[in-house]
Amino acid sequence: MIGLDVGTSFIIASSYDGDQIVFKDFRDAFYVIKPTTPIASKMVEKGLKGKIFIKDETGSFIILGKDAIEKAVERNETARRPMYRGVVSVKEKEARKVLAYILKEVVGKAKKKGDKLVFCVPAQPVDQEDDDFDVGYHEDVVKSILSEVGYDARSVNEAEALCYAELEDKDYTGIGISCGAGMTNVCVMLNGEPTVVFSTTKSGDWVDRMSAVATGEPDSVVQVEKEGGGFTVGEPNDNPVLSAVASYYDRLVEYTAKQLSAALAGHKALPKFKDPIRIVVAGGTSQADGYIAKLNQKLLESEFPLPIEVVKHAEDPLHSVSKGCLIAASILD
Amino acid sequence: MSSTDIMLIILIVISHMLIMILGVGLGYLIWGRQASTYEKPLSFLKSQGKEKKNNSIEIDDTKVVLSVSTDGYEKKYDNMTKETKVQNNIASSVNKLKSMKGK
Repeated sequence: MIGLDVGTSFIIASSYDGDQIVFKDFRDAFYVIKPTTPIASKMVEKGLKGKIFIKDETGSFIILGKDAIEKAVERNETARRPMYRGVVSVKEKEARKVLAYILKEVVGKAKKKGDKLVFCVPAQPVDQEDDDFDVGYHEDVVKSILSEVGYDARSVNEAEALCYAELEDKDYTGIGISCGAGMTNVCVMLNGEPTVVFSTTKSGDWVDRMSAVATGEPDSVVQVEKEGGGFTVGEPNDNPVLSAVASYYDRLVEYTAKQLSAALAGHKALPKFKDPIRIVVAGGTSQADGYIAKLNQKLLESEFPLPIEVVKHAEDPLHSVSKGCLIAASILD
Repeated sequence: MSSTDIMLIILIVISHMLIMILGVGLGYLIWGRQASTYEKPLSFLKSQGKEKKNNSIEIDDTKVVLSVSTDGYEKKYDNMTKETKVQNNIASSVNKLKSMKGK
């Protein structure tokens, strides 16, 4: 039985191992090097020793994961992503193939045919209408890849999975916000039942892109600097890249809080909670210093329509969604 | 031409006209109502290839998922993922959710 967080930036599988849970993380990125001559090919292969890479039928080297980002930064370029804004890119044929490879490698072959696997999918965004954003297609592609390696794969909403992992002591009542790289997913849950789910299409990648434009650096360089920390959301910084990141983070949090308030205000399906609710936040983008405090402040400023007990960071923000998927898979049994 | 010949020609013409009018009248009585149930093409040219829409029949135009083969890839590493192990603390969550969902 496997729980699988299929994210724009990370693919994280979780499974049971005796009395423990094993998380397998992989950075969802790739970088292609196409050598022009056989000698260049040998040199490139030598230079990639110790890195995670594959060679395709045309002789190109596809560097995967963290190594892809490092290689891209080394060459002052940007690593590619198999997914864009939370879903499989419809146009990128090569990206789909790389995603299939990564997924199969991360989950491995099913121990027995029909093993249960639950993976997460994003909700329909409230701030974008685009033919390229097709959750149904994304779900079908992932399901088809996983069934090839023997799994009976089912999907669960990303923020719903987060609620399963983090709201047990609140009888599964509250709000889960999953701040991934491509999207921010939200689920309002009442006694274990998701009542409102939606997403917004601006998150960590938006901060990287905007900061890259502001500083003239490639996205990958900004991403590496950002993940190194050393900045607080909304506060000035001596490093120009981190200063831009901190500033755009502040705008992102404000945008997310406003979208959240607007989407929930007057929503017909919104339950009447008798007590103030807990909002639990997870995902790589939420790990920046000051993110939670800023979100709390911006939610109050944007007249959030529900009384808030606390805005809380998940215990393990990177693994929460995958853990929620594993819980969902366990319930299926 | 004599006046008798002229009278004869007029009589023949009038009788032909009467027969024709009778024919049209009979034709309308027998076929007219049935014919009105058929839809007339608006014009010969315009009607060609222009069929009436049937909104109740829809075609499934969602994107087709094709098999993605990864056979051409040659693996060049030993281990790809970073592993972390934590104590299993989800048993109570699973039991609680199972009971809440009536399983």
